[in-house]
Amino acid sequence: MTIGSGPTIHLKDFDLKFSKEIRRLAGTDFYTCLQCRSCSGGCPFSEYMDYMPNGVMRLVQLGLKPKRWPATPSGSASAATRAPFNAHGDRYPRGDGCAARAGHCRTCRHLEPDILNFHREVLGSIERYGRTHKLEIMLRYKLKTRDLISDWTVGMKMLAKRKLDLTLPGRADRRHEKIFQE
Amino acid sequence: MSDTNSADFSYFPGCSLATTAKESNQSLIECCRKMGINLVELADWNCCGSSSAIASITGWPLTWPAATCRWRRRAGPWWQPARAARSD
Repeated sequence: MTIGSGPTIHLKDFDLKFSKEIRRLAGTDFYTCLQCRSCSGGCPFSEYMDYMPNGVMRLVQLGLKPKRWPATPSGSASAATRAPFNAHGDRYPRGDGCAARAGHCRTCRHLEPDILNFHREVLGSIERYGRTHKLEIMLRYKLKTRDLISDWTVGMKMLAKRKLDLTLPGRADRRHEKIFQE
Repeated sequence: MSDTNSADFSYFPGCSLATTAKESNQSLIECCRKMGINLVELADWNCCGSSSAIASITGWPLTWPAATCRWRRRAGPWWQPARAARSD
């Protein structure tokens, strides 16, 4: 069985404990997903994903855990985990998108160490500037994972289309630092 | 400056809309202007945390936008755009 363009999933990998564990970690019920695919259909990063968001949800529903998941053939963390989940979640017809995407994120964090590194870089950027600076996040993440060239074509396209802001975000006060201190 | 018949509304676009998706932000501002709403960006807003805050610590996703709203509330009535930054 294949989902999206990801690696082959074998039904013999079925593990009901996996579903229960993910459900416990995420604190949400993945079985409310109707598989309408509106999350995957509207995602701007779909072509870079190995597993679409709805595919990941289906894997959890079925209790199927791939050996390395989610991941791209190049070895870096799946674009599925970097995509804007706000866009995914808001399209859920069941209205439980927030819970679903929260569960999805926590699921990915649980399974893939690279994703945790990515989230740390994002939060580090917020701590420094109060906002995210995507170019710096990408550079720091690539240095940390020591994988500098796997996604360079995508990065160059984003730079050419001015999708990566070169200027650092300016801040008038340091209000955001209180949140990190607390 | 706003048009004679338009109302000013404060808003914060978020990191993606302010940088990666500037064209969407411009479209939003222009559409609202056509409808008589003049969107004025807050001078000093926080990142909402996005999926990284959701994945990291429970409760953080609410903390970030709440901090922006809290500051906005102190800056004056919601219908008056807060242009200047104030310390909280």
